[in-house]
Amino acid sequence: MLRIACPYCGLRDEVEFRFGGPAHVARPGFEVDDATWADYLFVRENPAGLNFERWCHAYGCGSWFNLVRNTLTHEILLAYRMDSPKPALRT
Amino acid sequence: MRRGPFRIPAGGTLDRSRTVRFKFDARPYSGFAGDTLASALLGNAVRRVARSFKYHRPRGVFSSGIEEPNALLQLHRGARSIASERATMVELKEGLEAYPQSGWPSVRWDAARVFDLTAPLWAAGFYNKAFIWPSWHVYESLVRRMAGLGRAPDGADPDYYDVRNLHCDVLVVGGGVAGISAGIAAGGAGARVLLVEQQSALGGQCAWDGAAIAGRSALSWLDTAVERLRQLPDVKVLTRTMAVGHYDHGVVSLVQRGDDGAEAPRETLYVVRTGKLILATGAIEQPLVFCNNDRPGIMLAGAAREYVRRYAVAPGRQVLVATNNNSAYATARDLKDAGVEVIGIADSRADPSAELDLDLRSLGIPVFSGFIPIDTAGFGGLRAVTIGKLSQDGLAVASRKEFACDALAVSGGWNPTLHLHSQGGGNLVYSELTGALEAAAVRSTTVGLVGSAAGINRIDEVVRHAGATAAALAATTASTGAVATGLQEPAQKTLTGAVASFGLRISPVGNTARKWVDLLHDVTVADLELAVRENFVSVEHVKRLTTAGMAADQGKTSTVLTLENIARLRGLRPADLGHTTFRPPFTPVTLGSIAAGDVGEYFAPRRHLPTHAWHAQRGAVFQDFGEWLRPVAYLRGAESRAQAATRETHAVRAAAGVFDGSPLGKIEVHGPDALEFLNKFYINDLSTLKPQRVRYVMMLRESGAIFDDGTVVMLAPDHFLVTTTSGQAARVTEWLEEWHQCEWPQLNVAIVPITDQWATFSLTGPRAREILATFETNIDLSNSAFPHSCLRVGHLAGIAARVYRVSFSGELTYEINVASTHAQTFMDALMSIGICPEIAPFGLDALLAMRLEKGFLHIGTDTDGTTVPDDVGWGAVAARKQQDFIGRRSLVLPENLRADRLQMVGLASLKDEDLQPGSHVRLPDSVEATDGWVTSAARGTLDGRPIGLAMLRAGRRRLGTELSVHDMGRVTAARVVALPFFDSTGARMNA
Amino acid sequence: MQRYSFPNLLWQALRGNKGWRPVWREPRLKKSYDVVVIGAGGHGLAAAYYLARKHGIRNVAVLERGWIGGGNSGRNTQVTRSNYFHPVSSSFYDHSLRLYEGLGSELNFNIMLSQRGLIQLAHSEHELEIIRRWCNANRMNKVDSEILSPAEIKRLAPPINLCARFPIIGGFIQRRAGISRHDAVVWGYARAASALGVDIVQNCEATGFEIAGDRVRGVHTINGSVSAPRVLMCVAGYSSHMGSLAGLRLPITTMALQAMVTEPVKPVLNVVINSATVHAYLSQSDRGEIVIGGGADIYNSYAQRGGLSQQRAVISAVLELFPSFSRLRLMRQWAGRVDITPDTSPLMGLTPVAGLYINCGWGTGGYKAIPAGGDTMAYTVANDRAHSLIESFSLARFARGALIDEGAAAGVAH
Repeated sequence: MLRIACPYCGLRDEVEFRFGGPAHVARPGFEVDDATWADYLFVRENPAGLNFERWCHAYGCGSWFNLVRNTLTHEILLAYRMDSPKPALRT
Repeated sequence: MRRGPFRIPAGGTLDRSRTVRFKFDARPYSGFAGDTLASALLGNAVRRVARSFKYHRPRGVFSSGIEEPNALLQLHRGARSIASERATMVELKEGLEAYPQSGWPSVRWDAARVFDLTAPLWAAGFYNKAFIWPSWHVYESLVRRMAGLGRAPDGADPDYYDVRNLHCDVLVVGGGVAGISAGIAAGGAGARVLLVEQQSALGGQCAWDGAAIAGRSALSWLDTAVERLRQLPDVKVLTRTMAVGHYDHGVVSLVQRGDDGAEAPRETLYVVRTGKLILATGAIEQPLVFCNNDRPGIMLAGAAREYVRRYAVAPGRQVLVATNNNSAYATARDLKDAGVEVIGIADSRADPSAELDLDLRSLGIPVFSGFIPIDTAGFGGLRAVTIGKLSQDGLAVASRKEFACDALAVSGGWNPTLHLHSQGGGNLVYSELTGALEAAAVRSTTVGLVGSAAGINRIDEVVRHAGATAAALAATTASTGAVATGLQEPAQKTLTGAVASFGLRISPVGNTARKWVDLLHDVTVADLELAVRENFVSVEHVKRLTTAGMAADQGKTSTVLTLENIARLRGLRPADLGHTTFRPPFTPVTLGSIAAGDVGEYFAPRRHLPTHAWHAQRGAVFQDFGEWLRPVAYLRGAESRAQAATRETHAVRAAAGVFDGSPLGKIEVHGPDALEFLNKFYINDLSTLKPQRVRYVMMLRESGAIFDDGTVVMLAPDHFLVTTTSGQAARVTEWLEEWHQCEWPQLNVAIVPITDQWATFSLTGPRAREILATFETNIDLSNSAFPHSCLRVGHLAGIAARVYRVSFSGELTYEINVASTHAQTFMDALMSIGICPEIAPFGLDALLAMRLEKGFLHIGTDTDGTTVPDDVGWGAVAARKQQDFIGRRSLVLPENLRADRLQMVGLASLKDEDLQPGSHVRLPDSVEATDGWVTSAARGTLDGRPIGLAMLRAGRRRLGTELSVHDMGRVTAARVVALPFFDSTGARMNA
Repeated sequence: MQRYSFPNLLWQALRGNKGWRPVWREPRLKKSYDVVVIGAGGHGLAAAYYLARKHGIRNVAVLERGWIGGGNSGRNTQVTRSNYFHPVSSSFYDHSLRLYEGLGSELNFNIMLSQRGLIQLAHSEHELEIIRRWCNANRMNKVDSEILSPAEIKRLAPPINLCARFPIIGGFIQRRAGISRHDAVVWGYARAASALGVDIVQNCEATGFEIAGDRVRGVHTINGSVSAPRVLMCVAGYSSHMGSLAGLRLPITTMALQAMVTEPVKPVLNVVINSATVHAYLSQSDRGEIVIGGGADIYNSYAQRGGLSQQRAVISAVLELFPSFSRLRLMRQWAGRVDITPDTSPLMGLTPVAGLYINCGWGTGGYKAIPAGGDTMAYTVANDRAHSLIESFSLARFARGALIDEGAAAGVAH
């Protein structure tokens, strides 16, 4: 069971959160072609390793934030606020 | 009642003043307070307690702990029955009833022993190679009846279970000498400590093994230590508690057995969040492998020692001890001291005297150096053992000796209990030195191993090492400090529990089909040979083909032996075979203890309407709608639900009725950017919204599929009210928040869900205005001042109210919102108006029938996760909007523009038969299997005609077409008709 | 291939079982093949088998980075059914079920196909309507399906609790559905394919592709490179990674799907029970274990382990349905790596790289599809053209918005 550090509330259990898919995905404008739009809607990096992802503290403060988590080990490296820029991590 | 000849008259830690009566296999026996079921059975000379899984060979108690592979018994009958209870783990209680789980007609004489006599037929994987013709179905019932150990209870579990949550800095698993020492050190260092012990008291082995710690008796040391624990300010001790699962991020699950009080939970799940984990979990003894090594009377040497010292039970009258290491010598000595005849010790090592720190002659027991058991005899239980002198290379046997005996205590070394370490990601590595799976480098610096789990057995060293390890662990922050595991300990020369070196533990001679490796699943060395022969060479393939290690004991006394055999057969070293990984649970735990009370009413909460009791009093029939309990109809007298709904509909159409719509989703959106924000969500262009004008709106997912519908009204340029469907109230709120926080945080808005804070009552029908006008109110209710699709804010009878004129029923409707706390007051006020026959409450059945007649969209019934706006007639609205909104781009993907999409249409049945929602429809010229389905159906309120709504392929082009309607093989017919069925001008709604 | 039969079992037993031969060969990897299949799970092995059996293409290698069937094929809950909603899904899965029905004989390996039925429960009137629509959809597609009343459900599953927190008010059954033995299916296909000349190479991880001019030429492995004009990729749990090595961008999210079994008991449940409302499904294996599954742990994971909270939720759901199972013990739990697509339908067929074919995205439902997955992909590889049964499952469907969404159609919110 994951324990996730909400940037506002601190370390809480997985059940208080909802997963929100990949972070830092730019929403394209209306004018893009079908393939680009489908790419935005459906394609995922799905890395085996460090993943930048969104979470919502749904049963807590309700805030959305970003997490850097290793999808192989579930180790959480970093939690940062939604309005923070994407951190550059030394791998 | 028999006491049995194997009970030693003196000694043990039992309370002999309290006799405990119990039954096994319907026969009465007695034991003492402090016995386990296993020790009491042994004390009563009950040798055969089970028949083996495949071959139905007789089996007896093999161990004294959690690793027991034979004595799995059914306890009790009825709803409280428990299958496969390990007799070694059951505290003997008065009136206990235990039953064997196999053996027909009895466990002592089993007709299915014939499988043993035909054993080669049932080798590993036999079921893959037969039962193919004519089909598996022919054989399956019989095989299913023969499989399975024990029976499921025949009624709902009458006991209850609970869950508790704990936080600590250091969790110590195991309350023996090592665990207690660690707990004292960690607690003394100021950490918050949780110490858990699976037995009912602390102490572990030292409570009975007569050791000396720091120069005094272990019991004396124990008393002092327990008192020290009690005095420490933040140390909590849980007994009868087993740690079963180690999960991510320091989460550990514990299961505590309740005391047998009526009020207590039978089992309690503790979910612990800990910073550090110390495993003082001990080690499990492994057996020796030789022909017929499974007979009743053969047991682990450490268990034999525990039975003698702790339970005053002798495993037999004439006992032979066989070992490959030092630890069994203590067993031999203790047996002899208790007056049991010990025939001798067969030690597979060539010269054990060099390893022991005692003079063998002073033991007074013959030692057969270089000897290993090679066979046993005794059809119903052990009668004799043959030992063989190993050749120099260990591959053959030079000479043999045979002994008559009824018990054989075997020791093949000790395997540290590292399941929790492995579960947490710690690697296990096979050690050539000890023949055990030991911890490799500790993966996380938050786990420590102490005691025999760390390979440390000398008692004073255990105390010192555990204390030092715990103190160091408690002091470090999570990211620094490696922890000693004792792997660098030099070889130890000691008598008690030491594994200084080990000799051979697999006999090199004899029929491999008679050498058991996994007792519980009846797997022999021949099965492993067959697996390798057939190219199932990886450990996982061997396990799956032979099922070794996959039984309820999870391979606790077979895993390393299986690995050694596979390695030997493949010409490899065990360490080359790859990782062994353990997963939770450490030992099987009841489903009840995992659900831990989240069942029944605690499975999911119920939400009640603010005026629930009022509805109930009026005969409401409630149904689940998501979590909400809502009235579908109100029964009067002997009415059926359908009759009630018809009556309600007539009442509403004729005069008035009231519908409780409180679950309706309600959200306030405030802020200077509220309009711009909301406009990003709906297919409707909100920029033309006028104050207090209500707009019906539709919201999409980014894929273009309809997510929800509802209304938006502007109270002020920075204050909007949003409504959603009842089912999506929470999801729409979350959706708005998600996009605001993640995509458009620059927009200055606040989103406030108010669904629960406001109750909603729809006063519906031609006389609704007349009724409302009798309230004292500041709202001008005339149609010119308050037309349809408007909102007015004011008060009714002194209660603050927001009143919408919107209609889902198609009748004149005032949707009145008042604070939930005033809901009942308002309802009472409404009902006390006496100007017309009692205002009938009407339920969902009536409402949905009325809305169907109007062809109004019901999200989730007429739509599913693939429906786009154009499918239900809202395509033009979406296409008109110039601004971008969520889902807009998807609406022009090719699939969403297809002409043959399913579209919403009205249906009129051509017979006087109700249309059935879920029926499928086909066009007369169709080439497809189906052309759509009926989504909802009702009888017309005024003419009683059967009508319905359907999604039909290219439906809008099919007005007037006759369709065949298919439901469960019955075919009827319907015609596609225009919507609405009723009041097409909307005159009633707009009155 | 040694014949499996009871007389032969007896004959070999009399010889001390020393006469049994390897179930599949252990060949050395050659330098080139006509077809390379990456992934020796059920789908990969089945494809290789049908290539050899039906299309006469035997110069095939199946490369497996670990041991065959070690991925999801060896971790699933063995449910075998074909009651899908969409016509294209219905056709595909029923083709698979029909292949399953003859598979034991065809492969001469007992796959223990047990067709005692699968019941989908309805806990509310709305759900009952959805069930009816689903059941009728099956019937319109000529797949066996019938509505059941609560009394009928109770007769088929006596320990079920009709009056749980969410009462059971009906359901529907596919009688031809049930369970089979996952390891046997993998081993059966492996044995038959190997006997036909297919090389199954274990401990041979594929590390990349040789692609020139938008056409695949071969595969690089840790044991050397292999040239092949056609390559089929079926590596559940690694599809994004493997796809990226070929320059493919896939709509996949990999998650952990937990499954668990109780200690085995005498027969107490003889149908498969599935409930969308409480999110759990269960059956009893022929060994007597109650086999339990539920939803995935919802976040990206390659760890092959799920969390305690999800496990508790699934077990609470099971006890809602079967309160008498509360005293049964959970014996073993594990997880697979499932590749979830946006519409929970698979990705099958051609890719933008000529000669490279894909079969993945099975999410939580790949086991029942093994025979049809193998058969249709064998056709596709042999003919360089998608089999008609899988045209709708192409990778290209997403750019058209042509999702085949079973979950959405079943009214299940995800």
